[in-house]
Amino acid sequence: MPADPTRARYERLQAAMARRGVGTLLLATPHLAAFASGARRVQTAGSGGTLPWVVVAAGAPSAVVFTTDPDGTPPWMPRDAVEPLRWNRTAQLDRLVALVLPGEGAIAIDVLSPVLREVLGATGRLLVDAAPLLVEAAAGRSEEEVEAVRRAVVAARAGLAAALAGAVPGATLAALVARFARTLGAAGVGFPLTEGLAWSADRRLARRAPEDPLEHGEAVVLELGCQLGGYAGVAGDTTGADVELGPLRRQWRDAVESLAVHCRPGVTTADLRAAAAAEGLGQIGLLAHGLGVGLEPPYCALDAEDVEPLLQGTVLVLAPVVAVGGRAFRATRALVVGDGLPRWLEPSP
Amino acid sequence: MIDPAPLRAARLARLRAAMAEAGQEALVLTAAGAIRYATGAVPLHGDSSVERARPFVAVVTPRAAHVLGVEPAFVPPDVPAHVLAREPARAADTLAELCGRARRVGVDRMPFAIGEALARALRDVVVEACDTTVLAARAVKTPAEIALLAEGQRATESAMAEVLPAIVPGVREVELTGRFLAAMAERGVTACHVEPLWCALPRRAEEAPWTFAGGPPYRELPDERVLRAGDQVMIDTGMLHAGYLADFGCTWPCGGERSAGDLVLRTRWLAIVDAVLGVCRAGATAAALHRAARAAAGPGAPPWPVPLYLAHGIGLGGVEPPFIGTDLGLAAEERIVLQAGMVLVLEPYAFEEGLGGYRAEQTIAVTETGWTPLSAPPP
Repeated sequence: MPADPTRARYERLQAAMARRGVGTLLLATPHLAAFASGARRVQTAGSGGTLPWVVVAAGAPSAVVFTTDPDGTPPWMPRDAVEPLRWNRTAQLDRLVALVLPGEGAIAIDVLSPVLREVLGATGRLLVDAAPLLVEAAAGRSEEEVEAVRRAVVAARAGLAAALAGAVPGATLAALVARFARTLGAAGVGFPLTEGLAWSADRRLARRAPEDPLEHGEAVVLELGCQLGGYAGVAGDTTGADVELGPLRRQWRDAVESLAVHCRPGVTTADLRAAAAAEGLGQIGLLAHGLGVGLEPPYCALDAEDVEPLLQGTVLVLAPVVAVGGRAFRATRALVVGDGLPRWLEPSP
Repeated sequence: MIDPAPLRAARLARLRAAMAEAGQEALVLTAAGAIRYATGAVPLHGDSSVERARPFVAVVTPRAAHVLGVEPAFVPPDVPAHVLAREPARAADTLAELCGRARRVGVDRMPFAIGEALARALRDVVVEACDTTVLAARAVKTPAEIALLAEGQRATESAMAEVLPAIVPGVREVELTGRFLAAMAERGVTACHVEPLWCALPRRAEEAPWTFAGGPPYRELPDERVLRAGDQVMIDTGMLHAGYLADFGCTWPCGGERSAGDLVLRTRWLAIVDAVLGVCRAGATAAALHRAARAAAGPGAPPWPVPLYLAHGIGLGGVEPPFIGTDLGLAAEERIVLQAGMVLVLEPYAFEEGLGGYRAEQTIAVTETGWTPLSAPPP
């Protein structure tokens, strides 16, 4: 196993492309492009642009990267695989087509737009969704990668702890985010995963604005995340201003332990949903999700109908909600999907 | 938190005018900035993986605007808020239904599965890119938008004033990020849109071997590097204030003392900016600004990193056209005519082998007779 995690990822990606008959992979979404290529660029929030900035040809020694930040490419990437980003869309499309044309097999892509559909459709090759391929390539993480994710989770958890300590009556979400941010320097974090999220810890689970103050006797659900060394960490918990949350926390811990028993290779998202439903658990958007270079599949939601198997080595964040009376409690806890006892990446919050 | 009604109404009117001009009877938008521009809804702000996990969409027609996937409390009361189905086919059917009888629909980029499903759902409709339409509307800002951009800029400058004294020998570049984010959060600004950059610039070409051909030696990405006295620390940050991007840039000497060489480079940067501002007014072309910068900088590499630019537009949700100094070239820039209400960030870069580099940013709003500053001069 190569020591450089970005190279190991690339090798898994190539293997997944070969298994799926994909000749060319095009990626425009920043975290997916970074996963595939190992290239770092200025982290910009949002879903990225319309045009792919990473192209992977089957069998190629590295991805081709179009970038404004050549200093962010991994040392093993050949210099001629690093090209300046073109602002001239026609020129960029022409270059993409030139890279795609020599290939054979399907073209896998993460996004579609009318222009891409037209240009890539003209090649006569089958266009397929890159998402399943990327899920396959993300699974089977090396121990170095799992450790990198764990470090990011630990950094997020430490930052969250600082934020929770400031949850007093009158404190705003923004003030809690400031406490979180003050911990980032020591951890070496360069980019937060989100703006800092909070929801009311009641039946409504309504998202809170940064300027909303915490009222006496009120509880809120917090979730904070960060990017560390190219991997994402996320940490959630519930806190209140002069609120007793002990019984709910214990109930949540029991519920998560029960869910974790199901987190084995081959168990599906439908199984996980069923287990959560049997326990009467709720969610805020997602019951559970993967974690790697960002929030990743599987996206397990109670209101979905998908049946995706959990894969060995997937880092899964469990984030159920328990509710009693008018009060709700949510935290997060990450584990690695595998056989045997749950392999937690962090202690129970 | 939700944008005020007059601001929303003015933006939506501009967007609908652009739709009419483009002949598009509906838009399907997925970019957070475009959704906020069109509807005033405030999607959850995060990196691309967060948006993948918790997607959102807006549909705009001449008579209605709908938002899907954003919590109702973050959607204006006059805008219908819907759940976005997780199954691509169901989500696409809903989007197609909201497009109504539109015969020509402008569509943003989407995750493949939903994009495929939407193409099927709109198979009897002309589907084309919406980028040009959206950017045409957003290019010129209303006075209220310009006021928000200026507010965000002031907050950023104030936060940065707290961070600059911490740029001292022994500090790691990446450590400065947390200080800045905390200072911004204390001012109520929590949406970090662009990674804060704190980079010791190269003084010689050999220190930046990754530099693309034709450009000045440059470094962009901060890391664990420990700063040393006198390092020329290039700073570039972007946070969203009420959805509008504040873009701050300067080069600060580690320890706070500028050397004679630093002053030479700063003077050159000022000369370039002065030359550009000298020709900047409504009616001027982007090419005129480009030429002014090149003339002030003299022969050699362009006075900006390649493939970055001399200037970019800025607004809701990030950087945006016009881009000046890119591979689009002077011929294309001759066709870009500045209009009053456009907001530009000028960010040239002065570099000399041995002396090093100086890069800073100046945000301005274009007026009929010239320009008005939205940012203070770089510290």
